[in-house]
Amino acid sequence: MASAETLTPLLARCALRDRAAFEALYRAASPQLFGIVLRIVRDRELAADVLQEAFVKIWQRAGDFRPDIAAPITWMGAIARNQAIDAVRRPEHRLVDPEPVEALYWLADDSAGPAEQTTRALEDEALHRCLERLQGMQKRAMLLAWFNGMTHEELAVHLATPLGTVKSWLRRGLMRLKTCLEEL
Amino acid sequence: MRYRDPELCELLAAQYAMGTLGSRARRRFEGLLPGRPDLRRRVQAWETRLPELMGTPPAVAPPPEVWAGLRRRLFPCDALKLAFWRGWAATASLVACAFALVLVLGREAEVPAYVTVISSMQSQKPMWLVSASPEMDRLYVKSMQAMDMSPEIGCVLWIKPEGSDRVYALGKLPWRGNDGMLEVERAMRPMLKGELLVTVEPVGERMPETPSVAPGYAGQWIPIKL
Repeated sequence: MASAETLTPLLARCALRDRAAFEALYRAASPQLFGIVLRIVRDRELAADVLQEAFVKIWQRAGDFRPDIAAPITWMGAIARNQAIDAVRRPEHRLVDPEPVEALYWLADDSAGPAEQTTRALEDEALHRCLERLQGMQKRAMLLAWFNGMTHEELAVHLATPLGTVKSWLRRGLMRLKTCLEEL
Repeated sequence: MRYRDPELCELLAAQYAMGTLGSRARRRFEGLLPGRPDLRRRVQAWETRLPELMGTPPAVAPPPEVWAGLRRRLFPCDALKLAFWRGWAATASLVACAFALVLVLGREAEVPAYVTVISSMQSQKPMWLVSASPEMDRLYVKSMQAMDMSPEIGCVLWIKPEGSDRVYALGKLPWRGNDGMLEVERAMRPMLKGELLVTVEPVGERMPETPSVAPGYAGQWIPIKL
């Protein structure tokens, strides 16, 4: 993954309409952003369109980036993620046949799949402990929502659980994370 | 809704960043953001926290069309310039190849008047280089890719004259990476301007009058003006 030291000056130069910097930024960051988008929209062709839209926004909004608030990849990742979520929320792109939860084997509580590997790889053990405070289905619902960009309603259908229960899991999960982060 | 309630604001910001709001709720929330710096700060904080906590999916190389599309969209003048120089380079290469072909074939040192590359309609892979003499009485052909075919199958070159719906057979093309020349009948010469098509089909002693299969390869003449 490209470092903040590389990406921050590139974004600053993009704000000054430096095309070479934009190309360098695209080369450095696009695989990470495409991974995020593809995970949510699941269709390569649509993901390519979404990535293009995301980079148009990055070019247009480069001047809004504040390195004191977020890492460049986080800022760009949020743009790409929001673009992907908007794309899958459009009626014509709604998931007709969502991937069964069992297929996301790496989300199983005891497995050592990519999500857990990513979590384990986090340098900050405190952050890791915050995520570990989430339990069972709550953690599973949070991970599904995060990685697949699913709404409360889609999660309820996906997990065959009442909508109110899913909303409650996520609400409590998010607030538990916030409390944990504030304690750090 | 109580959009001033700090707890609700925090939750909505988290759910927005998480992506769990439905489309209407999402649009409604986005409508609030421009006038609410406090909400924007909360969203930004969650957008920073969540990837750190939850992790990010593995990187995947995007298809090359994305960058090409971005260039066209954001810097159309650059893309046009590039297209011009690419076109110029391609034409120059074709002309050079056509001259080389005439020399290699060792026929009369004719300067070709038209040249084309016939490419696969599916993969765009170039298959034959064809040049025409100024009188359009001869076509010099070089097979650029050897093909794997059984003996009863041939590659038939057709011309679809400009403004016509019909196609006319011009002859069989070499297909083993070798060169060849096709004599064009006098009656056909005025009709030679148009689209060149190639079918791969069973061919006997006589040329078929109409193709028995859909053409798989095509090319357009480029005039050479010296």
